[in-house]
Amino acid sequence: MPISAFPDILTNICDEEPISKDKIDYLVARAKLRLHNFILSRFNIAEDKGLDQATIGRRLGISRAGVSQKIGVPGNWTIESATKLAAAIGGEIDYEWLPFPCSEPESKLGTKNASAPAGQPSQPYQLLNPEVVRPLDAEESDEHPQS
Amino acid sequence: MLTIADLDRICESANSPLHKAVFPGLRPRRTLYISDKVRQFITASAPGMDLKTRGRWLSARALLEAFVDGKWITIKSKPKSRAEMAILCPPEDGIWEFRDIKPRPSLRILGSFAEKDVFIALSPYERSELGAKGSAEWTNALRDYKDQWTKLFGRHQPMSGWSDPHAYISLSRYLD
Repeated sequence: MPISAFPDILTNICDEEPISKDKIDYLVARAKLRLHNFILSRFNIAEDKGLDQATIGRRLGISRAGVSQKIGVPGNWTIESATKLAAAIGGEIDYEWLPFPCSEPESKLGTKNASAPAGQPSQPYQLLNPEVVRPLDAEESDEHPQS
Repeated sequence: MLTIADLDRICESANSPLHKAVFPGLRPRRTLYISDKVRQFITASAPGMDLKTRGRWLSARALLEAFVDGKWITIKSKPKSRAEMAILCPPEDGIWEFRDIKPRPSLRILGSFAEKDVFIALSPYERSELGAKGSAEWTNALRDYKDQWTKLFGRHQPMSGWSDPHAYISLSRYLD
């Protein structure tokens, strides 16, 4: 079937000076949703291993209902509150760099401006075949990468 | 029941009012179809949108992307919830909403599941347009939704009848 991909919001975003507020709003929403998904997935893994909201509450010094509210509602999270939540679940948060798709001049210059920092895996941004629906992954491993 | 093949056929027809949502850079883990109106809002191309409104609807687009990307989705289980999705009353109608609560204005996109992890988003609203549950605005919105559904899909009914959200969405959990 014909593919009508939506306009890409991120290509050439850095050509805007300043970057428009609506695109910043979009990026903020994406960042919050990613962080929420990360915490929620780690919580689900920990929960399967026996961690309950009451324990998290004791670790944070708040009620069980407060834990539910905190985990479920990322809208007001700060770096501090997300870090506390992660610690109470049993870990800490790391970050990865997702370069924007490069604009025309950048692609001609090569990938220097669009590549991940040295030592980090690059996540090339590309239109993938939307006809292929990936299976939802099984739960991620909870093993520490260095263990 | 509607299948993905049925929905793709509708999308393929000339001047189709239904689109398969394809977000650049995302390999889909769930499938999303959207109406022309939803498409206009989440691509910030609806007439008369100011910068603030565009930003809000692009944030709602991020939520739809998270759905397609197979992220965890929180489900409403009690009033005043900030969950990302909720089934509307009566649940037998199979009408759901995506909910993007903050910052204000709070947004809603009404839709239904065709099958598990296959969602059809038809009607975008600012929450304030819908009025209180049971109000004339609310009732009209649900009636309009059902009319729109029937116009698009005829006798086909949305998925309904399950109380467990996992029957509709993988990686979902009650928020509250």
